Amino acid sequence: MNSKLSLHAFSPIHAKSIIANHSQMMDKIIVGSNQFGLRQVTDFSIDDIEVVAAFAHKFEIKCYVAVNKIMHNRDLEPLTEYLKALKAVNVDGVIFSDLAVPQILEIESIALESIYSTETTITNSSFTHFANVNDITGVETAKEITLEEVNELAAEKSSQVMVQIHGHLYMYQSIRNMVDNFSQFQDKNMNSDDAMYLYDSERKRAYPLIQNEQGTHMLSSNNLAMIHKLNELDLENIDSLRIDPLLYTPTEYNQIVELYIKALTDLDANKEEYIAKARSYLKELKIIKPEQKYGTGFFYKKTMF
Amino acid sequence: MKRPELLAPAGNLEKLKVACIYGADAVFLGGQSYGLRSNSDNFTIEEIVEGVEFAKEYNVDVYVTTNIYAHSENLVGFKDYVIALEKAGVRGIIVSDPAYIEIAKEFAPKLEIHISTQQSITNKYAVNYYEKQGVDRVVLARELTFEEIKDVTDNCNTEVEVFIHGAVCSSYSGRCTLSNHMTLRDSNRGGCCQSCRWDYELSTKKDGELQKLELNNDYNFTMSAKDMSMLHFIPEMCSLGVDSFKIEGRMKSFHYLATVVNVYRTAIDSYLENPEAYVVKPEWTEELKKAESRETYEGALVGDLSSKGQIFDDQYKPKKVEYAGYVLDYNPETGYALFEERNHFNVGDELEFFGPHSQVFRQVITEIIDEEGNSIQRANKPLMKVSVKVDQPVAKHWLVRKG
Repeated sequence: MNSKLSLHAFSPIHAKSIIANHSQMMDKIIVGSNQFGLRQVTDFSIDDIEVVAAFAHKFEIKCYVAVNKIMHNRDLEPLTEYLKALKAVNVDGVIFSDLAVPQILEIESIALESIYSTETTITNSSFTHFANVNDITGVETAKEITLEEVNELAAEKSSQVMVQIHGHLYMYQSIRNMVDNFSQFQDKNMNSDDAMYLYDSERKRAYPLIQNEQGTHMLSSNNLAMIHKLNELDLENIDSLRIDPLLYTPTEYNQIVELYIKALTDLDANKEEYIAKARSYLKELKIIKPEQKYGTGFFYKKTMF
Repeated sequence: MKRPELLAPAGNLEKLKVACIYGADAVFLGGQSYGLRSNSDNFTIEEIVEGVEFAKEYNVDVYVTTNIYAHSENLVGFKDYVIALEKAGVRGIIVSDPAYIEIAKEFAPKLEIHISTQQSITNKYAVNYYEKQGVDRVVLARELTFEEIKDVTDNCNTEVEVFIHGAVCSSYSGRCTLSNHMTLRDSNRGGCCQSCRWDYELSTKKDGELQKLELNNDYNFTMSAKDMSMLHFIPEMCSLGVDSFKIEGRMKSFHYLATVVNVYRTAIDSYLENPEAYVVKPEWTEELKKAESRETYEGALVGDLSSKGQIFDDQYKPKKVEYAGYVLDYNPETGYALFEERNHFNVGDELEFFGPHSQVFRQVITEIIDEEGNSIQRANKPLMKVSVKVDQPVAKHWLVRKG
């Protein structure tokens, strides 16, 4: 098995604990800031990131920083300074969705690795060729392609491939502050300190809704969980398996990571035994956050058009 | 001052012809596959060949949308397709997916490559990035302000295209998969079911239970955006230094297309001819209202992302104008116009005739003559050919509407 886990950190202390406990099974620790990252669980300062990177390197783990928001012109100068600062504190790479990022890396000669992740658009292996010829380290696949298509993409890859295997799936981002706008229309404060949901009464589904300084974001109602289907992923060609942290507590995230590590270890040791136990991993997962519903996203659902 | 191309949607061959006649400098259309409007009529290769030939007569360029994000199954046949497009004389393709760029560059190198707004390109460095890839044009995201667009054109060499009129996504384009999640229809492969325009409840969770937020009125939450209309900002638009103004709407009606292209052609030409004397004429605004199906707004371009750009109370009543006919011929000696009926009308009704260059007049119908030369009181068979007396000259391709 060549695949390694790419895991997120909630704090420098949390990063150290994740790395120290799971360094054999992971290749990247991911952090980010609210200024340049999308929907980050924690706003890491440059000083925090330096601590995480230094600790990760002791275990030969790479420290990646999410700079994956859609950039406007006003972001470009501060982003340039930020990328230089990341390099200065020995960060290994960045995860980005806007091609301004590799453009800055090139014109400023900032030697950082980079993973292209738009969440919705990387749907075939040509993106890995595009990455390869443009000095981009790798890509994260779109969530809307099937597992067969993911595996095909990985088998034909020309650069690294990252695949999200667990967590909420992104489904919408607007530049507008939708809740504020609706509040204004209603002439009533609709903002809530409690988690907010978009509810579709026809389908009886609730979608998490987040409004922040980057606009309005909506997420899938079910969480993706591949804990019981890991054997169906091409673990020879997929480089990184990412477990998304959004809307989990650090404790829940740790438990989920541990369960995946157990499942991957079992799979590596004996595929038949893993398959025999597959449903039990799912049961254990449901104990961690009982109210959360799980699914397999689009891995086994082909979309129409 | 640069004269930007006016780029119009061509949902089918008939609409392509109307766009050319009514003043578009270029049209964009979709073939049977690879484009983002799978519900549109869309063109066969034979129709594209015919469309390009027709467009040439009017010195109009033709671009073809191939802007889906391709799954591996969508790569099949693309090579032959772009070879056929190049052979047909298409000027360029509008693309999002690098797979299509690679294939087009290798097998149809004469085709221009235009990066679709589906890429949500929002800054000058991202445009610079595509310049290095040798693309010919970038269509910017619809989230940018005038200042942000100007910053792009001041710092980039590739051609830049922006939208000037039509429906907009409320999300960053290409970054919305509501349709996938709610209906299994792939929004990035032409299956968008416009889930953003549906009604929803806003809820919070208390003790694990969803609680609907109390509202002050009967209108539910929606992400639905008003349409973009930049008619009142032609000087600002022209000062941006962009190369192309795009009108959205391959699935919009024949009447919409003729009206919108006509108004923008007239307004842009009027401004470029004499910027100092330019004023927005009230009749242009009135004309656009006849084609609108929802409220319009200037939106992001003027830097306003407030609730003014959203439709929460769907109270808008479009101006009730119906497309009544298409003029096939005019006899200047008799003053009779022959047209194909598209909506019923009677003797005594007042119809409106309009043609290219924003020529408009109203006419009370005093007589209707059918194909057999009989005088009839009512034209009520779709596509029937009728002659009516008109007080002002018209010409082939004029349109007739009632209301």
